[in-house]
Amino acid sequence: MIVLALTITAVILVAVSQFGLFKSTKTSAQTFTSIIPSTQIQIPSVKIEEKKGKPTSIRLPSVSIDLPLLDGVYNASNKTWSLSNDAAHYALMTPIANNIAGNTFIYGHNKKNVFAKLSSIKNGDKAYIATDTGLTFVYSFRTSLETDPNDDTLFHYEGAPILTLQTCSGLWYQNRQLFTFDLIEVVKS
Amino acid sequence: MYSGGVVLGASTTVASAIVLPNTGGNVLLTVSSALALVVGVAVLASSVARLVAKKAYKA
Repeated sequence: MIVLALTITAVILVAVSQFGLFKSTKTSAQTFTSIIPSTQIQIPSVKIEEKKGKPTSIRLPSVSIDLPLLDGVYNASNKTWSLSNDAAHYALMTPIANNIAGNTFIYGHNKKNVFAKLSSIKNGDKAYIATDTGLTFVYSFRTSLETDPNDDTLFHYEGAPILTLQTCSGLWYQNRQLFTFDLIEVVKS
Repeated sequence: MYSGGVVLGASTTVASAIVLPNTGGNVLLTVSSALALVVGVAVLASSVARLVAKKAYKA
């Protein structure tokens, strides 16, 4: 009987820890475009001082993430991206952090020491992107969605400046979880 | 698009059919966990079966 009880406990523990059973899972069929604000950016008549910089590090204090950013290079021939085990990557093909427009895309492994903790982020949590120009871009988390690896709509975004973080999700990491942040302010580092 | 990156100073040329990065975690851990789960369920099932058979035999 003791063996039986231990086995039941072990099975439950494995199920809960690895597969997230009994946890509300939110799957979504929506595409990235559906989370873009309905009010697209309108070019103001007042000239905004342009601030920009290539992302060099990312910090999300609410989920204890503080990582350097490496170049994220896409290899079109075999459809793979450069990927590190202990750093996140700024996708070079997307706009650098700026206060004008576009979607700055950063991705990282779904590992405890990289982006696994993103799953516990809450609305309004801040993300700080330090850049090579000495500016820090402060973003606020708005929403997340799970999508298909072939959903490339985020690369065609044209609205107000946002930040998208990505890590993999699903039992076999077959999906892509996108976390969208809105730019709040730009401060000097 | 971003006017060819003129405004932002970064290359924003997007080729067609880009796939999102494969940022999966430890697949080995997942496979071993799944295996442990299957073995656990098998042990559980056989234990219950033996218990039921034992009680049936006594009766």
